[in-house]
Amino acid sequence: MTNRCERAQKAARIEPFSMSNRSGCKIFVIKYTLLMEPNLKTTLARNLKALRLKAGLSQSDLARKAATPQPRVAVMESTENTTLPRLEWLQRVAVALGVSVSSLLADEPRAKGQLFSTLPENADNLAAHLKELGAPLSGRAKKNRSFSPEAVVLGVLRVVPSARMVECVPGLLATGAMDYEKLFRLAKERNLLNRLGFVVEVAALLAEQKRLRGNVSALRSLAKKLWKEKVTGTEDYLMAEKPVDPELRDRVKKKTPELGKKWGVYGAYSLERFSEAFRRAA
Amino acid sequence: MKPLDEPLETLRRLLQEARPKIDRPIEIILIGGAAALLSQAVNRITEDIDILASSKTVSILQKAGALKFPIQPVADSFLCLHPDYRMACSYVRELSFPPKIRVYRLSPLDLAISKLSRFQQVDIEDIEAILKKERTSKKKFLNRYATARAYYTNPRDTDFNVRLLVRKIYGVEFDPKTDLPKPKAKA
Repeated sequence: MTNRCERAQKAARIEPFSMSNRSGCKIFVIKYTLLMEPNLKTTLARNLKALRLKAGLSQSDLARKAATPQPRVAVMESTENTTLPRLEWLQRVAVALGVSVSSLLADEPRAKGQLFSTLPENADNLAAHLKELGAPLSGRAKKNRSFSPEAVVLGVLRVVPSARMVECVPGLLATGAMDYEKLFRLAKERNLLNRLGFVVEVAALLAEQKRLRGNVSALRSLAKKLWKEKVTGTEDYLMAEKPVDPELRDRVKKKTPELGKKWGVYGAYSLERFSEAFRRAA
Repeated sequence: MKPLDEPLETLRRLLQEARPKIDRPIEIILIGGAAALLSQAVNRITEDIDILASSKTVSILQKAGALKFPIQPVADSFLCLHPDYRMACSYVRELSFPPKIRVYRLSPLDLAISKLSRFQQVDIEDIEAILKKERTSKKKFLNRYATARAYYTNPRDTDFNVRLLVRKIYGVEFDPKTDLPKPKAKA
């Protein structure tokens, strides 16, 4: 019996152990340890990280979407991970990322270097950068790393730490101290074309109100360029968390300005608050 | 003492400059973003300071030259507020210059209720942050709201917003037609 178990263990990676029953007879139990191929584990970790970044999500964002703890995502993204995810976990994550389960396990060549430019994620860091750019914000802010103004704008649009920060963005764009080419490139990279398009059009309106003609034409041409690349068929919410409640979703849609509806970006923002933030900017 | 934030510091300076020109005691109640910032529930706000003051106080402040940006007087009749909101206010020592100028801030619960009527993105965020920070129970919130809505001009709109909020924050269904408690008379 023992020899048979040893043979089985060698052949199929089955781990045997013995235990005694109530009458004292030894019984052999075969414990199956499902071992994932080391290559497959690395592939999963690599694909999961790449697809998450491609979707413009942080680990916490993905965890929230897939209803799983954030450390679990971190473990699965680690190449030293030894645990095997359940199929239903993989399915939940795939749905959250908008891909198929097979693409999570597909053995594709490793991307060289970093996939995307780094954008700020931390709310305090974003607030500190916005304040430095002249946004009318007060309260807690802590700068822990420097970023370009374009990265800050895209960071706010991606993370949406608070509605107040979003309200400051068109004002910053209207003043024109931005590299529009870089903004476009970053937005395309992070799939934020619709969100950027909306705030750029609001910025153009604000610049027009302030009669900043040079900026108006530059912003309009950027909006046109973004419109050409616009992502269609998506329902985007410019909010910290997408409202789950259908009635709240309808309310938010109702309160969304026409420009937002045009770009398919929803959020109960008002153009008055955008212009107020612009008026008060330093 | 913790240093005041930028807009509040401006308010303090304006009131300090106006103090010698004021000949009678006045009371100012901070509402909106300024009160939210002082209650420490909200981290970041835009630079607006909305104040509730009587028409007499507004004219005194105007004469003293203190009524300029970022101070904006608001009439309480336009807000959804509990009739006893003055009693629940807290005194703000850092901004007051007694005996002439006394500054108060609206209580967090009244502040959350006053934000129900506009219900924009920032308001939704603020109400949620305030109620969570103060650990306000559903019963307490609804009792206060029931009385406030009885004095408000457009309660149908705020009822709908309260329904959505209760569902979002407390995770329970709430029907304003049947579940709303009876308003309590003014004390």
